[in-house]
Amino acid sequence: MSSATLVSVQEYLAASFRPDRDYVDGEIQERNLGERPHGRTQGRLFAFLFQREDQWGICPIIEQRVQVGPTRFRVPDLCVILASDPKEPIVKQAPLLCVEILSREDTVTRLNERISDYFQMGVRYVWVLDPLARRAFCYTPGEMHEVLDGMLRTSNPDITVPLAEVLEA
Amino acid sequence: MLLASDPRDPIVRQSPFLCVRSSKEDTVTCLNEKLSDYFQMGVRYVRVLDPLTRCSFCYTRGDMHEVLDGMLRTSNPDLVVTLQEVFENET
Repeated sequence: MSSATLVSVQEYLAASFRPDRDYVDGEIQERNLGERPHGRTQGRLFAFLFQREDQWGICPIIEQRVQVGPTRFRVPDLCVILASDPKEPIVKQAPLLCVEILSREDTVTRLNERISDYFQMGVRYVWVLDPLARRAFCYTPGEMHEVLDGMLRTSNPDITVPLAEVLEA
Repeated sequence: MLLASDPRDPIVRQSPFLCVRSSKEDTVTCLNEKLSDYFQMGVRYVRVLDPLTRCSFCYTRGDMHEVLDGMLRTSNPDLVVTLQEVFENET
């Protein structure tokens, strides 16, 4: 059983954290980040997508609060919404893509909970990048495949990102 | 899990038919390293059970799907295990 102090949605939304935190049914959960492999991977992926946002009709956003349920907010390392999606302070319409960049401490249970939240909200793709192992995994609802050909992809819009561009040499 | 016909070595050196892991408290990186080891050894089936979320995942080399019908299965031999039995009384 969790011993975390519970706070209301209103308190969470009024608070700011550095780095930002998830809110899960009253519990504020820290996110693992802050080390170079995480930050560089996040930045390189954002830069790659940002340079092509007009071409693909997308809007990549770093550490955006996403309301995945009435009392659940997640902060993916990066999410991609469509350029035509509403420009809200908090994303409430399912992004096309959410990206999680692994840190050493990320547990399987926590990751699976986050991915489950994304898909229940209607997110179509989740990419999980492991900069330390230099591996990437593409999740769609109920399935996952490891990226073995070096290319991260989505369909409609057709986004293609070479893994080598994202992972620092 | 070995096949009954596999060698009865004190230490298993021939790839097991099936490996099952509980992911409780495992880090993602650690789990992925273990899965890679299993598949490089030639293991055909890997099942990962998360007792906290009561979810289960079937891995084959490079792919995974979540068990959504509540049944863990293998082929040759055909094993069927219901998740409900596995997670019963687990907290």
